[in-house]
Amino acid sequence: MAQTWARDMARGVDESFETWMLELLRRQPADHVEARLEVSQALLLDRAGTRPPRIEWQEAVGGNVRATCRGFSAFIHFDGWDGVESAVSEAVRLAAVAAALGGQGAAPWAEATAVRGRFPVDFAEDPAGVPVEEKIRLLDGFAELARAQDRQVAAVQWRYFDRLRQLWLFTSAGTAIAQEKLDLGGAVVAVARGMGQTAQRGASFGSSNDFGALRRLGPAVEEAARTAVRMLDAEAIEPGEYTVVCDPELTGVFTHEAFGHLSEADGQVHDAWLLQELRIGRRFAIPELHIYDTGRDLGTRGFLPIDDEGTPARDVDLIREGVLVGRLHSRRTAGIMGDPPTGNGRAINYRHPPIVRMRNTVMAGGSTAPEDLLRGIRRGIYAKGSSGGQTNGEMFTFRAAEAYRIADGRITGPLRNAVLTGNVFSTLGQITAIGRDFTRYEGGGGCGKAGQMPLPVSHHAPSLRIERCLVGG
Amino acid sequence: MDMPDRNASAPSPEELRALAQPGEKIELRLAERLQTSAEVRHGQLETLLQGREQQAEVRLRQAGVLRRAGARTTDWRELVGRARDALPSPSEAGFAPPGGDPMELAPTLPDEEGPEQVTQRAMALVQQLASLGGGFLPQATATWTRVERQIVNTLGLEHHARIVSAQLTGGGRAVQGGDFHTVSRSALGTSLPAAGALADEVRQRFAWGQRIVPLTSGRYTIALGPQILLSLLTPLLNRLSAPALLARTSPWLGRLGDVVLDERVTLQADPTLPDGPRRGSRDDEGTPTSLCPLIDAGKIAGFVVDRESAARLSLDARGTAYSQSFGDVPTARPSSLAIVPGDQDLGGMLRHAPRVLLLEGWIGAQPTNPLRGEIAGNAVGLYLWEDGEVVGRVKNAVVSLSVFDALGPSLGALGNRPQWVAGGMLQPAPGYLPYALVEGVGVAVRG
Repeated sequence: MAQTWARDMARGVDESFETWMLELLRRQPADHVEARLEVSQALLLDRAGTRPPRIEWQEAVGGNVRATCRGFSAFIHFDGWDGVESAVSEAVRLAAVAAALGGQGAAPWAEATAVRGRFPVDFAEDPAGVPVEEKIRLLDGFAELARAQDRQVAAVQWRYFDRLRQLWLFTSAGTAIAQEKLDLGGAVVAVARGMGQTAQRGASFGSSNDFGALRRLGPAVEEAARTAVRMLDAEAIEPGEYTVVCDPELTGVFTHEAFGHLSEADGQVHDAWLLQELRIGRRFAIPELHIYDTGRDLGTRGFLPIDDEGTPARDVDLIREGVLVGRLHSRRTAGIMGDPPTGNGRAINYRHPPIVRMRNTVMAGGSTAPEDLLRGIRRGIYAKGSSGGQTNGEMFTFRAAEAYRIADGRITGPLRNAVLTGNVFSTLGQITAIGRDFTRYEGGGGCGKAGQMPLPVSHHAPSLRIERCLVGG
Repeated sequence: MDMPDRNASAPSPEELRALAQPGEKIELRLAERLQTSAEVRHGQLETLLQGREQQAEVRLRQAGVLRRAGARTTDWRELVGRARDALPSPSEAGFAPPGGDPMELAPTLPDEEGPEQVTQRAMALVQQLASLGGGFLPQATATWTRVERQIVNTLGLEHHARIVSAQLTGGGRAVQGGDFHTVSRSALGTSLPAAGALADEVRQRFAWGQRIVPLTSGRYTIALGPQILLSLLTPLLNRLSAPALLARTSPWLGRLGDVVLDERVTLQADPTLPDGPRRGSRDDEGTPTSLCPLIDAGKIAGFVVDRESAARLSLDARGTAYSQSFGDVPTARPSSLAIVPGDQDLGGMLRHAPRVLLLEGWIGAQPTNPLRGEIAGNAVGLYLWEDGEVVGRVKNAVVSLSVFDALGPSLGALGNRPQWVAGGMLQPAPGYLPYALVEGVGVAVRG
């Protein structure tokens, strides 16, 4: 069955509609009013074992209105577009309620400048051009490839999604933007069974403009299947402190969890004690450490030329030469802290307000050859791939998809359930070497925050060596 | 909010039958959610949110094939046509049968759904926590939700349910010298919970954690809070649920009656709990619900299946199909996960041994292998008790557990007062769970 993006649904957003919306918002008795409209179309496929594939189409048409009054905001979301005028009135009324009941005076938001433009997807290969049957054939082919690697591969599960969001943003400051966002991704997971145990490893993919990301998955699937079998006799980890070497994929997750979330300014505003810890200019790590967040890497899942508040993307240095130099902002947090907005106001869909989120959070490559990262380690862990992570700002946890013992500078036997934990402030200081194997890995997972999950993000990084990392298992 | 409504009321089974083509069976599901929430941080209202969502889904069955179409705003009559054009999936299940009370409508109290009331409740909680001092910045979120669900099919099923639920979450954070002292507590109910009791719990936890105490790595007796227990149940639930059963990766397939946990453990999917967000006489597929034992006195007693997986596994559908989020297609999930309480109060657990740890929060505690049962997480709410008195908070510690060990040979006791744990981004279901005392838990502490 051919899949087409129903772009004709956007026919109603013409010049006269734009003029009407801008005029409607401009005349509201509020400091700032913005309306977002969205058409979202998605295909979801998954298959476990030999049961028939699940095929699900999702379509959502809706919008939201956010109004601010004396620094307080109200947010109304709705399905369909018919209710937009009513929602504008209600949001303005609720913003006044928020200002009346919301506590001590709030700081004004950063000035919204008028932006106009269209931001279509620059496709490498449009997934809509690939029939659903061909997608299923491709994924089934990868499942067969995984099973062919070893007879202990007992089952293969796969999942795939592609979603095109068409978005329009209008603001009382005169912004009128039309934007498309494509997100596609998924994973093929091999489950091995043997020796009374089960183990699994997946090959994941993601892109914001290219169905080819799936077509190129074969080698990763083969490796994942072989790894699942290898992990069957993995030994349990003895919990404790280890020198850990992370591969680029896991370093990316470490960067995201251990430092990226702490850099989101909505966790910092009004907290004088935290801001003292996170004062600009404080040294956190060795001079080679450079972490930045960018929305400008075409094709990555964190690609975001303009955010959901209408702020154009900027690259934001967070740590440069080991020193804290920046933060990630929405318009609200930028206003409170007196910084410029950074283009990090993001919402997962029209049913949520934009909040401060990462895009592509990058640790720049270092100078150490990957093999030299192991040098001198008598008792350590080589951690590879990611099963996700979490943070509360100070403490973080990230889970390695596979792990191996390092003994006397050499990678030896597999370990299971490697859970790397730490305290951000001390762990950044325990980075002693950064690999020169910078890698642009794109997975099919996502980031969760404040009930908005999974938001497409990227985290590109090299390999990394951390001393005295607390590992559980 | 005054919004147009395309799918306000469902047709009767007779009207659906009139639309059906020869040999075709039709089922229609309509749902609407109205939600209001207020989030207060650092003494200020950060977000006042109100939203209304709708979802319509049509399923067509004919000659062992299922076709479906769903959308948020499309008229259901149009969805019937779209479903006929959809890709077919082989299907062995039938639609849910008629019977029971067609109307199951929780009363709504209009004065509770207003943004003013929700804001005032969150502000009240923050004000009660403002006096804690020590750099503590309080925060609170109050959320009120009403879900209406109608299911009609050509078999004659006609069911309309309204569920009202509310949640109040409070806590905060004090940052001192790189230490984040974080406390968070939640309460669920059919109306907004009172702020006072929740504020008392937050104050108590904050006081327990004011002092940071050293601990050496080793094995300890730990009282696990309900939140910890819910995350611990994830791999157990994976073994009991349709995806792993269908993929034949669950080692528990075909093992009904086998002893897998301590005999004091009885785990149920419970749709009868009055405050449960997933309650009622039918699940999201319209299947009649009942109290479903999953583990009965330590033995495997049942599985979590939706209608399709039940048919494929030759099991009875038991009303365990729910949407993870509003609008999602229902899949095999328990209603609320409940463990039948034991006889120990928390105080008794904390006096059980000269040294006992209490774990109420951990970060990133998800299994790397979804079936194996091993979980480790960075503890953020770990308190040391000695001789029944709290000594302080333990930092930089990772707690490692196996659910099959913790609820098996290492189980010391189950608490006598279950508490609600809201389902979240990473939880499969809401939980109504007691504290659990577990012996010999591995704790690694940074030296």
